[in-house]
Amino acid sequence: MKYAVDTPYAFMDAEASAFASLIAPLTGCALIRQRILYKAVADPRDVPDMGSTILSQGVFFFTTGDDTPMELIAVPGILEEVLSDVEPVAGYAIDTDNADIIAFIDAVTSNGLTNPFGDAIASLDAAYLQSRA
Amino acid sequence: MALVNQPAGELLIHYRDETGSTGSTKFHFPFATLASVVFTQADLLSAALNAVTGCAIDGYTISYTKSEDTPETPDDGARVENKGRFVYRTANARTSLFSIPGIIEDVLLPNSNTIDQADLLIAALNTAVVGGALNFCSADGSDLTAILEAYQVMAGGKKPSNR
Repeated sequence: MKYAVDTPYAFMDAEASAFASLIAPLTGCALIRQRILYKAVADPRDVPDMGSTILSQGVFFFTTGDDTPMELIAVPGILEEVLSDVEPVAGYAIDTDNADIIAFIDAVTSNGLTNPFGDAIASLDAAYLQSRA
Repeated sequence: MALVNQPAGELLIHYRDETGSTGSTKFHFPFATLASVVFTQADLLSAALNAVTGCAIDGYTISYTKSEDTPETPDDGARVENKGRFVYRTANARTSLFSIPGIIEDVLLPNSNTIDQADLLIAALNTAVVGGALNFCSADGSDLTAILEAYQVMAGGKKPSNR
């Protein structure tokens, strides 16, 4: 089902319950999940860089506390410019002194993001290049 | 038996590389976070990511998922591929549809794949959809104004998920 994009979650959640009660007697299947999605699309769409590939991705491990699971955030097409050139990690460690990487880490740690279990992200633990080719 | 929310909602940011392959970055946020707040976060994160990736960022999806904690047992022989398809006219003279998986045979006209719109359950559903009790719209935001047709169709399902 579709709604106007500015429809509040609580409104759709309530209508989903009403809709589910209407269709329950019409189906032999069991309800197992409800998902409410909001979508945004870039307009116009950007052109990817020459040679960019989603297989070359940066992976960032963030802590969420001493006893809670880490959060892993993967960035496809990570730029070579943000990789460290300092041995022995040159070419695969992500340069956490790079200004754009600092800005990204700050955006992650200062916006209330969590791991899948709802534990708040605290700080970056490690970041490196992972090729999925 | 109830739908219970996941601990966190998901924000997926979508990428496209030079070859046209697509990928994504997944973030999590507390389930109670308003969508308007997540939109702001998504714009901020997209801008930060745009500076560290060579891929184009095509958009993002925000999702809130609830799962049934004690699912009922499906009827014998119930198949999600056996769908009831409901097609509606829209206020801008187009159409929009939704499907109900596992539609029961009782609401079909005899010897037909046509859904009986006079059936009380079907009539109640249609009244809710076009009568204002439910505020569904088409993909372009136009209101659903009247049912055009409703029929049974066998359409693809998915492999079972362990999630």
